[in-house]
Amino acid sequence: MKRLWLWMVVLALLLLPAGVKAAPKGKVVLGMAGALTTFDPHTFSSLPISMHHPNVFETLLARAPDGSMTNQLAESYKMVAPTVWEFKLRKGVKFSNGDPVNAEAVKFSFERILDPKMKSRQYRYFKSMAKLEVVDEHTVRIHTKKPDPMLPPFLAIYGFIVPPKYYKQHDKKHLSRNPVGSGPFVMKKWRKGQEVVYEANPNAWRKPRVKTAVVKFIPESTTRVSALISGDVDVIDNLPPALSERVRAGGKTDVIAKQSPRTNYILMVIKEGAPWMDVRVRRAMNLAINREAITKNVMMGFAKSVAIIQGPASFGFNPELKPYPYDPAQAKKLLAEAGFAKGFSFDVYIPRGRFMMGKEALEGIAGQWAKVGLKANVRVMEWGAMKKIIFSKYKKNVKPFLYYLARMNTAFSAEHMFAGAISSRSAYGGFRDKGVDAMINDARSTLDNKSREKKYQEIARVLRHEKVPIVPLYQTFRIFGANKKIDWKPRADGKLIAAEVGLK
Amino acid sequence: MREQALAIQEPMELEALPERPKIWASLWKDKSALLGCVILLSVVVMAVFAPLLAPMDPQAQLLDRNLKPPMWSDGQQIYLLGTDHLGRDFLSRLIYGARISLLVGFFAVLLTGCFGLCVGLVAGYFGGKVDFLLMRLVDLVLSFPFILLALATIAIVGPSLVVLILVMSMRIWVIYARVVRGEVLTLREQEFVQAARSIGGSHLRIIARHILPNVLAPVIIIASLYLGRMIIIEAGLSFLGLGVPPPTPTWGGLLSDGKVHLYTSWWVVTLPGLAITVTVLGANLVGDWLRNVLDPRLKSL
Amino acid sequence: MAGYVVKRLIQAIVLLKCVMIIVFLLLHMTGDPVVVMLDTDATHEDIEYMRKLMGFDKPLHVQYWRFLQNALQGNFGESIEHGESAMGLVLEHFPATIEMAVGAFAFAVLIGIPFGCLAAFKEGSAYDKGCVGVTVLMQAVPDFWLAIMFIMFFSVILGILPSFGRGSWQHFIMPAFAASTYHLARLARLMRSQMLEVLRQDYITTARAKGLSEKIVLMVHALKNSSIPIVTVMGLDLGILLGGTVIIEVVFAWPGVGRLVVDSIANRDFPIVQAAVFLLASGFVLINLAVDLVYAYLDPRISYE
Repeated sequence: MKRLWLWMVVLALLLLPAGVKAAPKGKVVLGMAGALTTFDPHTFSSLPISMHHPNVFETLLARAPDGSMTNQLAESYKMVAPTVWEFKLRKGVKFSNGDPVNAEAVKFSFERILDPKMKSRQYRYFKSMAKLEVVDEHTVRIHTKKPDPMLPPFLAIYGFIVPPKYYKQHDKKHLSRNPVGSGPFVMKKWRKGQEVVYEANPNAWRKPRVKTAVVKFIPESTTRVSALISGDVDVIDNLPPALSERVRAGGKTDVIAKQSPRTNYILMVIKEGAPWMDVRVRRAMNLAINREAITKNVMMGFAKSVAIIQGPASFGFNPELKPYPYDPAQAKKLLAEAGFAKGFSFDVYIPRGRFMMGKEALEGIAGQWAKVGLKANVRVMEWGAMKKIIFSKYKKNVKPFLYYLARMNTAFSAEHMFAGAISSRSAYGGFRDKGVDAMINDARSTLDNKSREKKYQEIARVLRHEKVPIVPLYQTFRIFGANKKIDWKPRADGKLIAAEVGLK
Repeated sequence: MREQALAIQEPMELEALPERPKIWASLWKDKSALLGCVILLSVVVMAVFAPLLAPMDPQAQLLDRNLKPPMWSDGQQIYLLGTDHLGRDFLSRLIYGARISLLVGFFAVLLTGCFGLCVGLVAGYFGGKVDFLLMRLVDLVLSFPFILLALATIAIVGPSLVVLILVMSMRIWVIYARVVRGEVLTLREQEFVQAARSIGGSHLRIIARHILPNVLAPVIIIASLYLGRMIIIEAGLSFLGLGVPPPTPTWGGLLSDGKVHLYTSWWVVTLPGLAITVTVLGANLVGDWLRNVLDPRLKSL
Repeated sequence: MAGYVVKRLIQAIVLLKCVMIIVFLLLHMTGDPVVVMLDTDATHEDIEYMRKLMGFDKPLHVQYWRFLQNALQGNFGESIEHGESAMGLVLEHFPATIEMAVGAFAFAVLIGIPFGCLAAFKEGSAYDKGCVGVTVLMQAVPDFWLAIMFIMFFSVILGILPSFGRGSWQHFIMPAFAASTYHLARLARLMRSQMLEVLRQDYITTARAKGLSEKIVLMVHALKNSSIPIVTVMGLDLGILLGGTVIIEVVFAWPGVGRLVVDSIANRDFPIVQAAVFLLASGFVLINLAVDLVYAYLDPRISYE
């Protein structure tokens, strides 16, 4: 009996690589909301780019579908000194044009991002890099200007590795349309504003799940859903919650959803003259919101309330903190104590068409605030115009206001969220507190993971219970619609990557 | 040129607006015009008396009764046309929506009418360089993609009712200007105008006394025909998210909010579309009738 | 004639220049591209760094001068968002826009004119009344609403037409028809009333006695004389369709210039917007000129000397 088992295991081991190596078959068609602007992996940064480029290119590190850090082109990495990271590269990996993936390619790729002539928008993620050093064919070292524990999370998003020879040979225009990388797919055809066709890369070490994947760009959500139901496409992203019921009822299609680390919150510009200078008012504004009613009825269950800016998927999450309860009586009392028994009126800005059901939710929240005497004028703005208003927030003649934002925790770390929304240096914040700033700085420069996590949890507690710097709302789900023949699990980072979509 | 082409058509009979009894008689005879009047009047009544007619506060929301179908009852009240995504009474929102849609249409038409009329009068009457420059301005406006103008303007100043009306007016006034100018060109050469001029009447007086009454007919016709168009344009801008900001209900806004409920709650997307269609239909029928009565030559508007 | 055309072309160049200045100022008033370019995790330092690299820290007149110099050589610069030639991108999207505009225009002309004529011939009949009713209704329906309803009905319920995109002739039917409804109805109604007027002319009525063939000859002649308003409307329609099908493009995911421009305004991708406006305005000017030349052909009384 034992021997039989042994034989089976051996047989399975023999068959396994064969199964993996078999050429992928079939074709899937994806309908996506965001249009892709370029295939140059180093100059731009945007959500559509971060969903398309991983099909063709690979990074040193990556996020597994469950959100944990994994190695991709790096076989292993370690910090050899506080300012030096060493990466051992996977051996035998080739780009789709046959060039080898080696230390030289890594060095070239990052230097291309850092080159001011490239005007790269990814520069800000890697600006701490001082130089790259080729140790041998498969070993590369990254020297940073100062200790930067945040480097690895960004190496898992951007910093795609490309073959130096090809990228030196061709000009920018050619490169933006003709990518060469080591990813599971090669880009076969791209008609801007219309579709991208991917074909399995014969040189890839990670095989895609189908031979051909086509991504169609469909900006209008009702059309996207119609296309899914009528069978014109197999998977769609950005499914509006309201249409999920129809997708589920279709018989042939189903809804796939997962909570993403995208926190929706209302930010208060806290400055002289604002009623919410008083922490009691800020607390009252939080208590007057019935988050459950919004997530249940407006978001149709596709959102989960949060206590503070980062959610459970992020490093530094504090599980002991609970979302603010719904308590309008207490809110009224706090307002009266602060001298605003009659309430007050103010503007809340929200960008149009940017956040899932954002306008509808904010209208609902304004209705709840009205019940405790807070009159919120909801102003739906064009995103660029709203950014202009946000940047004017601390000017003397600008009346204090609030604004609704959603922040994606791409780095899965509290640090990223605090830097973007809480720190007084943040371009999109509204809260300035030297004590909290000092705590954030202290946590960031702590290299030991365990104690850094503790520090972030403590900051979250202070913010939730004492400082109340924002109105945290909920984390929305990324909602997809898929044909039932599709075999695909949603990722923790909410990305829809064509190479991961397979057929049953 | 086009303005000459317009002016070359049959010379105009110079009579002022037809007398009143004649108008009413023709209205009674023309059944479709009558229908148009009835529709338009009921929408106006609906808009004016919205607070009396609406069964509920259009702003009052109750999140747990959202997206209920028509005739749904919570035990105390019947929601005749159901509720929207925030649990607001849909009938009340539709009734209040008539206000903004009509307001936008009416003021846009009024504003464009006045401005276009002035430009047309000045260009046609004075001719020469003034005319040339004003007509190039008209060309400029016409050659500018409207949607771009709307997007950029609203991005700069932010969406509001006033901005919306201004943006819509920026494009339409040129139509009045062109037609009025063409009319004035022929009028200018008529004997009675020449006579007034030889007596030494001031320009203002000649324009006000002799020319203006004769170009009012086309202005009224364009206004009535474009009222419906304005309502549709407002809806289109709302669809792109450029409309009147919430919580004010507008038909275009209701439509663009409702479209995601297309497959689950038909009433929130079908009814505003129907309201727009019916109202615009009414306005168009009235416009057609006014044209037939006042100046049948203006067919191409 | 040639002199007139040259004069008009010179005017057109001045006009286009004015359009470009207005677009430039309008766009720069909408705000700073750098602010929009970087995501909300950017700090003030990141934004400043980027602004310097892109040259948006220079005074406006310097920027305009640079833009003008390039634009004069037909170079609208590099797209901020795509990193390639702005005009190239616009031209790449232009065929789709032309296809839609010409298609919708063809629908309007090929359906609107015959139906309008037929209604006039059978004035007062049930067909005529039906025609008038349908066209009045078509002028009253918001086109994007119709578009969504079309998709629901023809793609989802019946499953006979593709729900979005561009490619085969099936892809083309719904968007082109939705874009043409208003224009089709207006043209049909205009044609009907124009035709009625022709039919009422004395010489046509007398020709009736002389036999059908002569009647047709006369009618074609009469129609030619009275078709100036129709040409005017057709010219306007084509101009509007060329620059104004944005909503239909969005609903049907049609890869045209309109969608590109909307996205580019949102991204503050100024070079693309400038190039697109230049192209669309030029198209409008050319259509205008063509319409005026057709006038001269239709009515010999109009001369351009």
